[in-house]
Amino acid sequence: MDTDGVLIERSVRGRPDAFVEVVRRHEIAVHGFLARRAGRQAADDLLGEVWVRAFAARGGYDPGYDDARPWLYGIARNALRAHWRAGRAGGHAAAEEVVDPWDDVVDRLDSAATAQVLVQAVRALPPAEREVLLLVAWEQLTPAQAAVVLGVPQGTARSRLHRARTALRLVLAGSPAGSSEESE
Amino acid sequence: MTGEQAELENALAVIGHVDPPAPRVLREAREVLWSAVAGEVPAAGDARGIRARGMDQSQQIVRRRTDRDS
Repeated sequence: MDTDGVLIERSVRGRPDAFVEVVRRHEIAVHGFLARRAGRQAADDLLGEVWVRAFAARGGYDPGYDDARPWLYGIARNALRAHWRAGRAGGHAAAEEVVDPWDDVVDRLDSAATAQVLVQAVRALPPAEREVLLLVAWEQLTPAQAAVVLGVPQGTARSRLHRARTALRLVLAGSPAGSSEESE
Repeated sequence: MTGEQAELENALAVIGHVDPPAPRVLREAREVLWSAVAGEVPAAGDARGIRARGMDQSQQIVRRRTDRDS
């Protein structure tokens, strides 16, 4: 099976339809990325826009990367930012809140006390730490891939992830040191 | 991975769960992409066919969205 990198390169070199296969591979994952952060309706509305943005930007893709997900998530993240900047999300006006899906998350929660404590703890994380944590935990990316999404050095992503995990583990262990102040 | 970390990852997975989208959603998003793809197909015959399909599909999407929003 051809890698995403091969397909994207092929799509640049005269076979633009090869890009559709990349989309088929990752469409559920990218929709999930959007839905976790902006809700299902916004995800439904934005998915096509993500594909068009990605298709237009494919000439800049490094075919050495076999897995296109980090690149696609980066484009989806930008689409979300634009979505909020345009004020189309009602109630989510600030661009810096684009990865703050907590209203939607709370709606999904059952009554499990651990989950509720965890949600509060994740909410309390600095946004930069929260973002890398959720890329790894929710999107199943490696820290190196999360760094690609966020456009930061790998070491930065790793240290943010470490701080976030440490803060949350303390919370789950019932330690008062797991408060938001500890993680900042 | 330690037990503690596994517990954390599992708990995060629970709060991050979303159901997969309806097939219709995926299909419509691909149709939007097809319109962009059709604009770059080099062979004239292919371009005509794909562009025609993409335009038809785009028009359907616009109609559906108009219906939904109205």
